[in-house]
Order: sequence, then C-alpha cells, then structure tokens
Amino acid sequence: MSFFVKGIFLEQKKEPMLTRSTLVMRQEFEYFDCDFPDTPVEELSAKQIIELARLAGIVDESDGKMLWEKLEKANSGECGTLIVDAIDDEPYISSQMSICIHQPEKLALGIELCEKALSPEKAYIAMYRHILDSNFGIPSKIGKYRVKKIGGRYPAESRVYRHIPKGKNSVIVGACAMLHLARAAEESRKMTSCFITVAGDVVKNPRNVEVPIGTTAEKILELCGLTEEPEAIILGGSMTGRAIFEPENETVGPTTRGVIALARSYGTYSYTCIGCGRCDHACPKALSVCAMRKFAEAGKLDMLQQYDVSMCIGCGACSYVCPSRIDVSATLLKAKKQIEIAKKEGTL
Amino acid sequence: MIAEKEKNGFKESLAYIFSRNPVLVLGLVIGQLAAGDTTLQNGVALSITYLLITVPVLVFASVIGKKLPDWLKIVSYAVLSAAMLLPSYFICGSISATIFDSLGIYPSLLAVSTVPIVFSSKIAEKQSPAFAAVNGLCISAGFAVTAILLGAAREFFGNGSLWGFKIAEASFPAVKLPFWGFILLGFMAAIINWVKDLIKKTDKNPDGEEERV
Amino acid sequence: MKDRLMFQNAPHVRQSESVVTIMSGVLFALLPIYLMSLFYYGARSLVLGICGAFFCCAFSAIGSLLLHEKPVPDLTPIITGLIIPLLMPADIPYYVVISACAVAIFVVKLPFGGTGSNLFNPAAVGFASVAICWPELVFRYPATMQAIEIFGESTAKIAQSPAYSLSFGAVPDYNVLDMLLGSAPGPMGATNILVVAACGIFLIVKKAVNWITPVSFLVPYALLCLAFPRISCSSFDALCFELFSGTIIFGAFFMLTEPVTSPKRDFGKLLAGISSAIVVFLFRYFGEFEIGFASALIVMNVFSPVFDAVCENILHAFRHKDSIIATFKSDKVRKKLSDNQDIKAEEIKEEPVSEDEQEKNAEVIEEIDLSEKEESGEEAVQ
Repeated sequence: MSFFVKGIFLEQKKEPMLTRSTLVMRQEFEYFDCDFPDTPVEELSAKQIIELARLAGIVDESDGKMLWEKLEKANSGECGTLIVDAIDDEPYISSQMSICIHQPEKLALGIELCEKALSPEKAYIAMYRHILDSNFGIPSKIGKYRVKKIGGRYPAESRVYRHIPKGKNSVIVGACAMLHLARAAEESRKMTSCFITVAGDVVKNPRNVEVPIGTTAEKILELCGLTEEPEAIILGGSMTGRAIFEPENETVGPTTRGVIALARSYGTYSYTCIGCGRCDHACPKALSVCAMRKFAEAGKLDMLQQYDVSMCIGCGACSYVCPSRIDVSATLLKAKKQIEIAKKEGTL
Repeated sequence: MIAEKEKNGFKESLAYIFSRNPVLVLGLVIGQLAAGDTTLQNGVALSITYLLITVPVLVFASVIGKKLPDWLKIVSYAVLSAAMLLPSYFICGSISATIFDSLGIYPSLLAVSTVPIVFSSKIAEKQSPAFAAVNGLCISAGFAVTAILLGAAREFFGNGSLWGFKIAEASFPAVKLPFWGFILLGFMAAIINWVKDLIKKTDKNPDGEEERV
Repeated sequence: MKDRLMFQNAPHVRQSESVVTIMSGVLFALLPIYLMSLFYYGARSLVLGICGAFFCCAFSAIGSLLLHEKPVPDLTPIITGLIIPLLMPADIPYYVVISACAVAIFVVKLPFGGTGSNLFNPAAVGFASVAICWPELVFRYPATMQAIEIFGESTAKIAQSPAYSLSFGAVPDYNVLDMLLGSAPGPMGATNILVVAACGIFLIVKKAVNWITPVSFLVPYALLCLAFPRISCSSFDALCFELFSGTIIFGAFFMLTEPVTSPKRDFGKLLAGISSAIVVFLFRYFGEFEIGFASALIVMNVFSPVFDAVCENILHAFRHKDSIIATFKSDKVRKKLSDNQDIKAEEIKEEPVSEDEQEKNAEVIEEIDLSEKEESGEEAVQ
C-alpha cells in the first residue's frame, strides 16, 4: 500500500566501477606538512586527532562541512553512535563503496582514529545494498566494524537516521573523509584529492578515480575516454546533480560525487499529466506530489504550504517515474524556494 | 447621500441581469435549475415563483428587518418566502394544471435558497424599500433569462417541442437529465465569461491603438 | 563536445515507461476483444471500432484547432473511441457511435481542459447519453454467431440479453459456460468474459493498470450479489450471472481504471473501488436501465478528488504526528490541572473516563511506534 512503501527501485549500474580498483590521477606535487604531530598513530590522543583533521583540511564529502568542526562539536557532548556513511544509492555513483571494498585497511584505521576522538557507544558502516544486483560481495565486516546494509528503495540516506537512538548526539561522517584522516595520521598527507565516479553510457572506461581537487570535468572525462560525443554531462549524482555546458571550466570539489556523461538527454515531451499517481507512490516523504505540482503551476503558495512542500528533499523520485517526463521535482523545489522567499518577506 | 449612492446602485443592480447573473456568474440556484428546468413551461413557472418569492422578501427585509430580533429574522424570511409559494401556485396553475406537480420539490427549494434567506438579511436590510424592490426585480429577471433559455433549449432538444407544441423530432432526450442540466449551465456560464472578456478587450483596444500612434 | 550539450533538470536517468507505452498497452489489450467480436458478429464490429476511433481523433483535432492549440500526438481519444462501440450491440447504427464520440470529446473532454483534466470518464458519459436517447437501439442485442451487414439496416436476429432478464428477476436461459465464452448476447465487447479478463490481467502485469482498482471493485460487488440475490437459483449460478452480464468485468478493467478520473493513491483507489461497487449494485438492483455501470461510474468520478483529499489528510496527520501527539498531551495536562481545581466528587466521576482516554492515547502511540519498527525492520536487511 502506498502508505508504507516509499521510494523507487533503480537500476544501479555500479558493477564496472566496483570491480576495478581506484585509478589515481598523478598530482603535480605531493603536499607534505611538517606541522603534523610526530606521535605514532597508536598513541594519538583525542585532541590531537581533531587537530590533525584541522591541519589536514579534511572536508566531509557527505555534507560539505569541515571534519574537525564536526568532531569537536560531537566531542563536547556525549556521542551515541558513529555512522560511517558509505551509502551510494544513486545509479553509477560508487566512490564511497569502492573505498570500502578496495581499501578496507585504511578505512578501518580512519574509523579507529575517529572512534578514539569521539569514544561513541558503537560505530558501524552504513552501505546501500540493492536487491537487484547483489553480484559483488559487500563485506560484512571492515576491520572490526560491522557493515550495516541499508536495503530497499532509492532514497536510502534518510533511512539511516532511523537507526539512531533518539536523544543521543550521533555523528555521521563520510567514508572518504575517514580515508583522508588515516592518510593524514600515517603518511602526513593533506587532503588534496577527492574520489569521483566517472561513468555513463558513453564512457569508455568507467571507474572510480582519485583526482586532485580543482580538476576540470573535461580532463576527468579525457582520463577515462569517451566512445561518443555526449549530449549531457552531469556534475554530481545522476539523480540530484546538475547538467553542465562548459566542461572545460567546471571543476570538481570535495563534495562532488561523480562526473557522468550520457549519450542522450531524456528529451522533452509534449504530453500533459495524465494523473496516474505514480509520483505520489514514489515520494519517500509520502507527499501528494500530483496535487502539489498543479498548485505550483497555478502559483497557489498557501495550498502548497498546507500540503507540506517544505518537507520535499528533492530526491527526484517523482520525476524519475513520471510517464509524461514532467520535471515534477524541479517544479516543487522551485516552489519551495519561492515559499522560503515569501516567508522571509513576510507575504505568506 | 444615500440617494446618490443608490443612483449608482441602480446600475449595479441592473448588472444582475447579465454580468452578475445570479445563476451563471454567482452560482446561486444551480441545482434547482439543472434538475427541475426541463421544459419552457417549467422555466417560466420557476421564474414566476422566484419573482414572487424574492421581491416581497427583500422589501419586507428592508422595511421591517431592522426592527426584528436576530433570532426571528431568518425564520420570518423563510416563512414569508414559503407563504409566497401559494400565490405562485395559483398563477402557475393557469399555465398548466399539473405544472407544480411536475416540478416536484424544486419550487419549494427555491423558497429556502440563498437570496431570500441570506441576501435579504445581509444586504437588503441596509437598503431603502424601493431600492430593495429594484434589486429583487433585477435578480429575478436574471434568473428568468437563464431559466427560460435553459428550459427552451432542453425542451427543444429533449422533446422536440416548445411550450408543449411539437416542432421537430426529439433529437437528444438525454438533455433532460440533471447531468446535462449542469453541463448546459456550465456552457452558458462559459459563454458569459467569453462575452465579458470580449467586452474587456474592446474596451482596452482603443487605448492600445492610441499608444501605437 | 560543447555544441551538443543539452540542458535537463535534476534526475538525469528516467524510467523507460512513458505515456505512449502505457496507452499502447491498453490499445494492445483492446485488440483481442475486437477479434472476438469479429468472430461472433462479423466485420461490422471492426468497422464500428475504426469509426469510433477515427471520429474521436477527428473531434479532438477540431477541438484543438478551435482552441488555437498545437495538436499533440495523443492516444487517449483512440482508446475512448475504441471503448465506446464495445459497450454497444454489434448492429448499432453508426450515427449512434458517432454522437457518443461527439459527446465524449466535445462535452466531457475539451471543456474541462483536454487530456488529463477531464472530470468524468468520456466513454462512460458518451455511452450513457446515447443510451438514454436511443434505448431501443442500444439495448437491443443481436444473437451471436451471425454475420451482420456492414452497412445499412441490420436484419440480424434479436435475442434477450442476460442483463435484461436479470433486471426483472428472471433466470437467463444461458449456462455459465456460454457466458464465459461470450455466446450469450450482450454488448459487443463485454460478453466474452474469458478474453476480457485475460486482457485485464495482461494490463495489470504490464503495470498499465493498478490491480487494486479492479479487485477492490469486483470482490465487494460479488459479495453484495451473494448477499442480495435478484434471481432464485443456486448462489454460484446467480453470482456468475450477475458478474458476467452487462459490462461489469469489462468496465472494472478498462473504464474504472482510467488514470485521469480515478484517485491517485492506492488507499483512495480502494475506497473508490468499494464505494463504486456499492453504487453499481444499487443502480442495477433498483434501476430500470441496464446502464447501471456507466451511470455509477459517472457518479463515482465526482468523488475521486474527495478520496484523494481523505488520503492527503491521513498522510498529513502522519507527517505531523509528533506535533499532534504533543498538543494532545499538553491538552491532557491542561485538562488534569483544571480537573484538580474542581471538587473531588466531580473528579471521581470523571476519572474513569479520562483513564480510558489515556489508555486509548497510549495505544495509538504504541501502534504508531510498532508500525515504524515494522517499516524499518523490512528495509534494513541485516
């Protein structure tokens, strides 16, 4: 029933990227910092680890915040659970999962350091496991940490928060940030690179790459090769990223998850909404998307607010299922912004 | 002061015939018309009933309404409008002996519709009796135009007759159903909106030409 | 590379299923029904279908010309035009079909805003209108297994349909197998129950149609027929006659499931299915005409926004359950405070009531918690 089944099944298309190891793009120079403390890895104290994260300039790729700020904030309170985010629920994107599979030792070290800094009650790694493609093995344990497999339908990230015990200060950190933390402790390396998935139906050699921050999308695509001229290049995830027009000027940052090149854009359709209600069923937040889209087109902001458009997380599931290829998600997000502006101005 | 206001008001009350038609624009007694108004005779009978109900109630409200206590107002309007059904019964009886029976419950529903109950207590109480009477006349004229047009159309297409005289073969008996009454009323409302838009456009067009020059 | 790049909004992968594939699925499912009627009544049935589809397309093209719109390639008028003749006997004159199509397009579809915004099912209104205008033509069914002349007045042998016999409480003189195979007279497309049901199941498997709508309609309808039989024979036979006569099965799969006029959510579809089963049953039980299904469908179409609103309200309460429970609790606290101020005798009287309420409240909260747990249990495969 639509009350409890939420989200959509997506074809993940991750196998080619996950079966190959990460390709490292040569950096012009490696940046070693002499400010790092000389203490061996095992004897680092909690404060030193946070200082290490600050010196190394590690950015958490799951939310774009500085890792040391997050750790310090959590350290001041009592930390309940440490969740390492390796959920790649969007198709193609698999950079976090590939770290878990191909560099488990380093990741385990990073988590150990993080655990030392926070002393949480428990720590685990959350990974997305799609029911349809279970060919590659997801390890059940990385180091001494359990891997919790988040199954089911597409927007999985919000489901992680449900396992967190209420009333406790829990921390979610990204897997790549953990890897960088381990590198900073062991090799005294600053975070100068990011992990990116290069994929798409016209990419000759789809795989996960580690590239310096600031590399242009064009260079990354050249590294993996193209079989055909793409019609759409996407920076970010295939469900939430944005299409770019100037790949030679667009650079990747620490929060960029992928560069995807598609042969065909999905094109425009001249059909109107036939009211099939698939968007309502797909919505992970159980919003009445079909009605809200009509209100948004009519500009009825008060009705939209009543229908809780502010709860929309912009996952794009409604646009994915729409048989008329209507940009439902984009319309709703636009309306959400309009409502926020109207609230600020005090007109609503 | 009041007299000047009412002079402007007369123009407004004339608007009840077309641009503020009680049925097609204000949407007041749609149900009764869609269900009951199936022939021209029915339309005329309903219009007479509406006239006999509306004018006395509005005049009564403007004359005595203010002096009545609140709890008695609406009750007395309803009683008066229901009492006016009796003369309308006799007048309509002269059209056809069975017309009131064929109309069923709908004339009685007219007596407790919006205009005699709400309009009277909200608006007519603040007006002078003469103005209230004009208002009532215009409202019932607007109602009559709609009812007669709808009744004639439905009788012609449904029975192939007008005023009971056979003119042509019945072409589409389904229009006598309430569903089709609603649909036809919707079409008439759409036509009124279209005409209003046309009038607005013709009002605006000269300005536009001046700007171009 | 730069020249070819196109703009597109956020989800860059889309489902392969589109309006065209859904609609062509429905068209494909209508094809076997036409083949069956071709077998029973000859080529006239096919010509009727082509006529209906052509005129529906032509009318909607005229409509979009009148409205100065760009004509959109659209399969919905074809489906409407193909469904209308299937509800009628095979020897129906062409002008009846054409006027039904005209009503469907010009009255039901275009004034409300074209495809996707019609309030009523176009095929149902078109059929019901012509059924009231020409009942003697629409409800006069030819016997099966005879070729009817393609043009001109029909000279086919007339037979009494099971739906008509049922309407005055007589047992139809056909056995259940006849009705399953479609050799009993009746509407052109709705008599061959096996083929219609197979096509309906094809639609469900292809996901062009949600299974909830037909099931939630047919099961309560069958139960109602068992509970209030119209004819005196064994209850199984009576059930079969009731279900297989008229357009019940055909309508449940092809008309009730029209996406535009049915509620959007599964729960709304369930409510709509059950209530339309009741309304259809009342129409057939008390009505004189055999158009019970179409009339009931028109009535129920009006209520589908209501069912949507019901679903939305329930979900709204679910989304804000924390704040609702919080306000409920604060009300409780306030009530208790005010109770304490009252005299003790009153307190004793009111206490059991408030305790019951508290228990109920606690139960509600527990239920919600349980449902949450179940949900998370399903999704987190450990």
